Amino acid sequence: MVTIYLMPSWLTIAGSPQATVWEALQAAGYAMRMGCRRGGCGICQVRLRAGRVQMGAYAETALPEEQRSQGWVLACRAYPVEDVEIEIRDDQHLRPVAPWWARVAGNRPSNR
Amino acid sequence: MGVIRLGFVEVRVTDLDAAVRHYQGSLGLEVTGQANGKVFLKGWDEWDHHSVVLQPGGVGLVKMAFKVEGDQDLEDFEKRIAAWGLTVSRVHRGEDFAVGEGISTELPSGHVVQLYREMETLGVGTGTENPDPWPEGQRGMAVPRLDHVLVTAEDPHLFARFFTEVLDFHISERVVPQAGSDQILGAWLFRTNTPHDVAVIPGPNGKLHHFAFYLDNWYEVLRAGDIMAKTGIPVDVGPTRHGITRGQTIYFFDPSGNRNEVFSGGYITYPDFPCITWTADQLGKGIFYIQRELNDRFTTVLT
Ligand code: FES
Ligand SMILES: [Fe+2]
Repeated sequence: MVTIYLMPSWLTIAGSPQATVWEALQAAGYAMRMGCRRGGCGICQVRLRAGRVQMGAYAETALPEEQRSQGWVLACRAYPVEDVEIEIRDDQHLRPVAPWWARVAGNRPSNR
Repeated sequence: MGVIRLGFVEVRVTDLDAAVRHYQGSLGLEVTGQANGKVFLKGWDEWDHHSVVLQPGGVGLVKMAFKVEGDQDLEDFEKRIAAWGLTVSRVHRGEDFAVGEGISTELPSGHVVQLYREMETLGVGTGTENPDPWPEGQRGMAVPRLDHVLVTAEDPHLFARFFTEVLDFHISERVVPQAGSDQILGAWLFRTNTPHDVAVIPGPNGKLHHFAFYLDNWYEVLRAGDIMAKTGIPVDVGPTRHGITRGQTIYFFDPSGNRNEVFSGGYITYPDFPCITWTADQLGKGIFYIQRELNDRFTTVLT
């Protein structure tokens, strides 16, 4: 298990090297604006501020090398391999959907 | 004479194996060939060799190809495309697997359009004599055929002009800025008897919005949605209805992020079909008739 710190809110959620940042968000009862969820459209680009992620397959057009080297990753394809700090832009609308349910149920990030 | 229909779309996929599992296993297309690293597929009710070509590497549309009726059409269109100011090139038999002679051009929007007259014929499982309504061994959503493709262009009006002025398409529906305007923001164009074979909305040049497969009815669309849920396919929107085309729909994504659609219903069209006009302030209703508003993906998520 790893910890994902979401900036600028400092929302802290449990992550796993087996689940993407987006899947971890979902498991914690949160949502953000997403597109294809398959590494093709680039809508879910977020900034990796600290820590390392492993990227699953994605299209170069969704995350050009230049952006990748500046620390951008795709929330739908980034698997955190250690504690990470991720910055989410305002227009990506990070929002609670069912955080209490997730907490009470003890949800863990899975890769479904 | 002229263009008969949308024949095939060639799309890029980041993971070819995952794409084949999706198009073959979940959508129910049949793999009909593999050549030059590409995979060719067709629906169970399609007679020609393929309607979808998967090419490894990246995402988006490589080209859309339309079948024409006669050899003369290729010559005529070659001249008309050139006269319209675009560069036309010949595509020779065999350059495209199982496809005969053709011509190809790149539109001002950056999309490649190919016209061809012949494709190897494989026929359908039900045959042409005393056929059953559907063949044995169907998989997943069991889509019978490709229906249409929708792309984005910085100048959708120009895109629509090419299809109407050069390829003799008709416009079934269009979106204009306000009543009385003739400026096309979006256009749904047909050569068949369906509401659209190709459509365009405003957006970056060269991008794919989605390509769609036909289903018989609303229940089949719902069942396709069940399969998406069962197999973990990301859904964009639906099941719902489009105001434009009146079709019933689900938008979803393939494993590389290209948007697909299952589409059923819609009215029939004919060459004297009048053009239906939507004003931009009613776009939400035009696209998603029931919700009456666009989601945050419709205009922005493209490959
Ligand atoms: S949602 Fe499309 S790349 Fe992540
Ligand atoms: Fe469509």
